[in-house]
Amino acid sequence: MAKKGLGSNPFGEAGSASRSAGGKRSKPGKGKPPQKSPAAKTGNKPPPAAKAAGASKPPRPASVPPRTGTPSPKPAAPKAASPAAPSTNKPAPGKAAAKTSSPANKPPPAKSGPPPAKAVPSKPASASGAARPAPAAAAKKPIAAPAGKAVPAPPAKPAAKPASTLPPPLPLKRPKPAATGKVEVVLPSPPPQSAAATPAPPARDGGSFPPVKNKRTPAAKAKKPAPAMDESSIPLDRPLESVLRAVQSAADEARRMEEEIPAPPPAPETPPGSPPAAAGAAMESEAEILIELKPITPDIETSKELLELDHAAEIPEAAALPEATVVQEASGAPVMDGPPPIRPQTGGSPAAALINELQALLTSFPDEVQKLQQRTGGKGLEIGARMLASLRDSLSTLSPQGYSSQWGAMGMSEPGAAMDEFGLDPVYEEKLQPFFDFLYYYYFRAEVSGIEKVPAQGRCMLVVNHSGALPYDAIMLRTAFQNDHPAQRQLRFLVEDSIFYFPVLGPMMSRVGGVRACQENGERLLESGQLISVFPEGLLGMGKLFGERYQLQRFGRGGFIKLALRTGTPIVPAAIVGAEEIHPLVAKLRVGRSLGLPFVPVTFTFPWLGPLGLMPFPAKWRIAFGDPAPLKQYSPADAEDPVLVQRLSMDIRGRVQELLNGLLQSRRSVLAG
Amino acid sequence: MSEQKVMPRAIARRVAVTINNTPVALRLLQRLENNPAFSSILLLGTDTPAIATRRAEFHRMDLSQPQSALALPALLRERGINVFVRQRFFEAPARDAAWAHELEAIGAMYVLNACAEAGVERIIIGSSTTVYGAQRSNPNYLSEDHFGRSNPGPLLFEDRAEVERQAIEFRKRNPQVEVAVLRFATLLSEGVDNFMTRYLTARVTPVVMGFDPLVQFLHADDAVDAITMALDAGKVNGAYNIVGRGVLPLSAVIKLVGRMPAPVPEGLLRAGLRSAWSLGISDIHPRMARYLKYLWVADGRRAERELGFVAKYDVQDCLRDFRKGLESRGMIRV
Repeated sequence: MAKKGLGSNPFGEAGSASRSAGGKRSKPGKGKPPQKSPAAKTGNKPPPAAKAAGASKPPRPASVPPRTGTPSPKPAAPKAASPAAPSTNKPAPGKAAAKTSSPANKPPPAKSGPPPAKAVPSKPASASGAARPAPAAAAKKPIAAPAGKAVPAPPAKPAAKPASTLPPPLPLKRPKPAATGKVEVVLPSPPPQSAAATPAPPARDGGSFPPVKNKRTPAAKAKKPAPAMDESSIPLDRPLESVLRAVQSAADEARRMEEEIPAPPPAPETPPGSPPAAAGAAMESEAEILIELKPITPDIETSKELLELDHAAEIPEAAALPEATVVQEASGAPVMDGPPPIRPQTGGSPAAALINELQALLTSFPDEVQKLQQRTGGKGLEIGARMLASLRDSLSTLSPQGYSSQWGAMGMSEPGAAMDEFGLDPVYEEKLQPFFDFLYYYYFRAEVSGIEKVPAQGRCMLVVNHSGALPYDAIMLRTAFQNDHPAQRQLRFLVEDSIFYFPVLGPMMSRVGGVRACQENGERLLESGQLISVFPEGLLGMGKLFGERYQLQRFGRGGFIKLALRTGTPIVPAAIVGAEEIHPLVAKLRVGRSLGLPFVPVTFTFPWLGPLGLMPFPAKWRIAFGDPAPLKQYSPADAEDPVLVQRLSMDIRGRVQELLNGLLQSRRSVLAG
Repeated sequence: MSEQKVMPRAIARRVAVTINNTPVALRLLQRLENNPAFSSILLLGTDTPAIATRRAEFHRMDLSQPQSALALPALLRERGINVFVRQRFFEAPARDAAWAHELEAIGAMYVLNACAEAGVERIIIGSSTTVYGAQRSNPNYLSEDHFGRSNPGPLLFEDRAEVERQAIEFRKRNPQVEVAVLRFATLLSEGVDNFMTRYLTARVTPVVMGFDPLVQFLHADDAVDAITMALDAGKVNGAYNIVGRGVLPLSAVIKLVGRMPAPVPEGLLRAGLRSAWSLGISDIHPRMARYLKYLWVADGRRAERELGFVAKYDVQDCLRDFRKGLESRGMIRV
């Protein structure tokens, strides 16, 4: 419920913001719209709303087009991206507006104060000099406009645009930043008055904040009030409107053309970055006001929004052509200003600050991101976006309500889920898959070779080296088959008994495809023609000390060979390098026996950093598959021959070790592979 | 594989059935009455069947009384009974455990001895998959061979296991008699009252925190099908798991019945159940906690191979049917 309202609002703001960052200035009278931005911040739920769609539909189109207009490739991501973009813009506009409003009275009239007046000249300017930016902005706006004719609002914005020239920065990087700089300079002076004036209006707006329509209405209001505020603006109001209309019609045309010619303009991306910059300057003065307005914003929400912002930052980069990214980099200075506007929002919460830094980090390595994108064929960023979205969702599960709605009472199951006979829950797995993909593509950067040696169908058994207290290796192996195997086979992994003795872990394992390791389960799986993986080292593998890494332990009692012989299953040896460094075990404490633990692991981080110490070290993973072992000459009866079983077991063990050694020799560093 | 030939040795099949007023027993009675292959039907029990009978003859006999050890063989011989169906008497642990033990376990001994004495050719014994016990070493699907290492828990489940041990003994001494033990999965459908339905409809539905075992169910109609298939099969011997299709996690089952699982740490749960049971405010036997924690799902492939039994209802159907029954009784809000 809250989501809808908030969502719609954010969008409205977002839409307007994206349309014309500068436009807000024209709204000085309406300092309120800007103040809304605070509300949006507090609400922060805009993104969720976007997901929810439904009520937020109208806003969506508006916000989405501006953002993704150019980079259509990431339709999936847009969700997060679009909301994020708006949000980034919002703060800036709001602040800018607030400041501008005050400036209107004072000195800056020439620039922003009298939006209408300046608008006229500025428009021409945009048409001629800044033709690029303006059209781009126009193109965006029109798209937004169609949803609700925010037309009035947009016009105001155009005026502001010239002043702030936020959108244009892309093509004309240097000049515009300068302009923004000027604007900022101008703005700071007014703050005192504006600050006084703005606080009151914001309250109103915040209260009135209806869901979807607010955008338009505020925009419309904004026009008129604005003129009232601006002494010089009143006369110019009409001309401005006409000009705005002209601009809009041009924008409409541009949009039509765009539709006809699918090629999207790269410009749209940059605006988000630059507006914040402009706003950033204003922010300093505004910050106080904002803080006053939104003192109660909960950390979680802010962090959510921040995540989205993060998101937005990421996606534009992804979507943007190399040039665009370069531009962003070039405009690094202004961008640097960008983050500051966010800080005031966060109000100094440590989590928010952390995420802020993360965002800054992300924006400062566009080429890194690009490289990643190239390597993952563009899939990775989408996954990253999904991952961030899922992270945000998981934040939302912190509230009891969200938790139960997302995960069910025990966080394990969904009533009525289509569960398979071993308890694999597709719904549950789908929720976790983005996280697994993130680990697979980004965290461990898994590289797979020879996976095609695993037949596309029919029973098959993988024999793999094991490590780590938590079966990351099994889950990554499963992910590898889903992502990289030609037939996208589903792998069921047999899990050490002891995992199933623990609360939560056991049920969770079986929800994501684990099966308790025993002959009966293995036989049932293989008889139904499935692909399974076994870790014959078992508990010994989990308890390998760091110094023993990649030295295969005893392969149990050869149970996996008996299983393969009884069911006539081919065995494919496989090796994972990297997995044995994620939890470097330096010692095993025997004190855990009473708790049912075989031992309490001591790693470089574990007991010392608490739960944080359980975070796996981001080693680079390589997974290699060997040729299937020839077992055809044996019959099921041979499973009863302990000598043969032991010999075969040692043979398979040798193959796995060989694969391991090969991988290790070609590896230069644990982190980079 | 499935041998659907009619039982060869008994041209005229004369059947004796222990009866109580559970859905399965009543439906079986109807089925037998409508099957002309059974030339005579003898009903044994303490309560007259709740449905009118046409040709079945009800004979009052309390198998918890030692006298029945004498009366039963005479009766069976007199009626020329060649098939005996010994159904389960209790579906949930009774508070009077001693009497329940007499009826369930000792009564079965009387039945088996009487059958040996009267020359009955085929005995069908109702049991349940609880005889495997709920243990952490259980594989996901328990085959019939897993009987014997069990930890059944409530006395009722112990009694069922004891009945099975008697049956194994009996088969050794009387190899000419076919003994089929049907291990039914937990029954769940409209009108069923057993330990699981009592658990699912309790005011509070506790679950063991951090554990969420898969559970399976069997529809009463399928249970009746299985008994008739065991009656009709060309040859039966040994135990058969009779299970419904599909599994669901316990928590999902609880939610599908419209309840909310209340996670409780295991120790607390045991203590709570024990005191609630002894205070008489709970129908959940305290020793059932392990059945809420570990897997005890049985594998029905043997019954499919040898009896041709495949459940018509899956776990969702059972739950739907059960819900329907609850709704008609106003026990849950729709």
